[in-house]
Amino acid sequence: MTAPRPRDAAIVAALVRRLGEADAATLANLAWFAARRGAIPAALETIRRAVALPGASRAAWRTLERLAVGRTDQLLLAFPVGKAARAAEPTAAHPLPAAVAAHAQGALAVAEACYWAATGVGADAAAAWNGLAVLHEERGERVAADEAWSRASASPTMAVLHDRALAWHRRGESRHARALLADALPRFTPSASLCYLAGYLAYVGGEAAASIPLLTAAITVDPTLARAHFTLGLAHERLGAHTLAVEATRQGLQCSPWFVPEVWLLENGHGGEVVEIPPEQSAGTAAATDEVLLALGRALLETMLLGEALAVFDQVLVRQPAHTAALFHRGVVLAKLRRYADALADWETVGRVDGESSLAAMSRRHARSARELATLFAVA
Amino acid sequence: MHGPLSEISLVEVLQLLQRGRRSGTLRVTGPDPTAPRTLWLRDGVVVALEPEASDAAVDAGLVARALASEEAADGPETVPPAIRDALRARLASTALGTMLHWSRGRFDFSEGPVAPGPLGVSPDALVFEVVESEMRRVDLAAELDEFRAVPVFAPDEVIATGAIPTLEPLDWRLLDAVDGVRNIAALAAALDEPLDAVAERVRWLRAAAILQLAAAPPDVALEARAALEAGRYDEAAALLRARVAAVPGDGEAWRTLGLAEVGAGRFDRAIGAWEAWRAAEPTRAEEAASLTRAAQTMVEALRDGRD
Repeated sequence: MTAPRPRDAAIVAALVRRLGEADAATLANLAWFAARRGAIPAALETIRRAVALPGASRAAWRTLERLAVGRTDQLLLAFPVGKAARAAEPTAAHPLPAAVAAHAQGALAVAEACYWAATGVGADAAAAWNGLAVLHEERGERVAADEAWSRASASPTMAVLHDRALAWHRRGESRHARALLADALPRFTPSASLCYLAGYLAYVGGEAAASIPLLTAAITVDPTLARAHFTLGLAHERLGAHTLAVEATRQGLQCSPWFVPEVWLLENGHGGEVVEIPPEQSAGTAAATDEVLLALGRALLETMLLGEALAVFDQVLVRQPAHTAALFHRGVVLAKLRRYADALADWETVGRVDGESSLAAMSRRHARSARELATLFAVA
Repeated sequence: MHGPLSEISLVEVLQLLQRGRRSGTLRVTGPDPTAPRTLWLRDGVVVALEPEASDAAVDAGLVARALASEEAADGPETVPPAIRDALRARLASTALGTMLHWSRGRFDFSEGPVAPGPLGVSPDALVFEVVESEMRRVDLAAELDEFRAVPVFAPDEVIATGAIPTLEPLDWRLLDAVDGVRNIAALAAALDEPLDAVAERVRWLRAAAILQLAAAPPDVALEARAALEAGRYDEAAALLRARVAAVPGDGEAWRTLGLAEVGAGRFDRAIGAWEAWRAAEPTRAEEAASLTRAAQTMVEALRDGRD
């Protein structure tokens, strides 16, 4: 990007001084002019001020979006203020929804500028600070994230508390997270998201039994909350309640084919709508889903629903053909179905790809036994 | 109903259709037979015009004016109807204004039912608008040096002071186009906007202390002609000599220089100028030769008189 000619820079600067207190449309168009003359910093500064004003047009937001990502082409002029057309202009141009939309799409520079603009809109301030905090947290800017959450906590919403707790958990400070949720739950009951997160943190903290009432409460509030069903299935499975685990996981699969255990909650300020986005550095939806499916498969195996168990392990292996846990357990199912040759093949694969792990050692033992004692796995 | 525009002008055709409150399709072919226009009239009122005021033309116009993007999220269809309608009306008005001046071509009117359209231009109102526009243009031309004045930005300290003006999108496009070189007419052409509209905004931006007007660069041909008509032949000749020295291919300057030399009584120099004119403009060789012969006759007559 070339620097503006000195005369152009001077003209832009003079116009900025003259029009600094103008309305949003004029400032947006001044930014357009500045960008066209190559005065990009002045354009960015001006457009940020424009979008911070009430009634900023879609053209203003577009200019901000494009300038924020280094684009100066296809910028739009705002319609004149006071014209009848202004009332009919697209209404999607509010800072908070624009910020959340940009955040969800990964356009973080745009999202940041829009969040800053939204922090000046009283009713949206807490949600905007929360979005900004999440954005900083994603970037690993923990000091800035804490500062933003501190501002958001001036009038905390459910999403603010949820995301603050999730951030602590993700930083390895689950104790703080659970304490915050324990304090928040009575104030925000019934909140499916807070109940779920409390239950999920209990589960991953090794307290499966404690997680069950919280997850059940979450499902009571929101029966379609797939991640609560899935986590409940995992908890039951860990506690050996295989039938309940199967039931909960099946419920979850009816709500969604994917298990996304951790999500940020971003409020867009319009009708209390919340947008869920998974953390960038999360283990991944597919991995979390596989964990649930493995648990389901094990529960089905334990309850001797062998055909279904086989289908579940197959489903994991379709996506990850070398998934050793799935191979091992499918081998067990196959052996119980007396398909020893197939079982042998799965275990040998585990022993080959997983080296010296305990699962590989167990697979090698099973394989050896299977070869020597064809009846070892016969159903009693 | 059909006929040549050389016998009945488009204004008269439209007014006849308006008086009779006729509905139907009017196809008009102007000087360029490959670019016909179609007007739809409903009860004598123009309700649609293609291609100049079609949806596609409006969409393209919105994009060209930076009011819409080619990307779907901010495409022309997202522009409020009031803005679209205003642009369509302006495109139609400009096109009809041009068509009213056509004296070559033909028209064909087919009567039939016509649904309501996006326009509502009555021929009487159109004529009034064209006349008003011409009057405005004459006033502006007088004020803005025949649109040859060159807009330039005011000094920084002047721009920076004063009240906050209300600027329209056209003002910003105009400011963007100002380069200190192009005059108002050239800027209007570059922006593809009516000359009077651009001239008015230039005048307004000057009043708002954002623009100033630089004097139009001297038009040598105009000044020389004025000197010639005033009998200042030597002055005219000097101006034109400078002109042809700078632009030897300017045939009209050579021709006028010959006239100036004749006026000053220097027929031999006139012959030289017109010979150069003939070389510069071979298409007018016959005209140049005729004048040259006349000058030679004068040279000979003067010589004979001296003898």
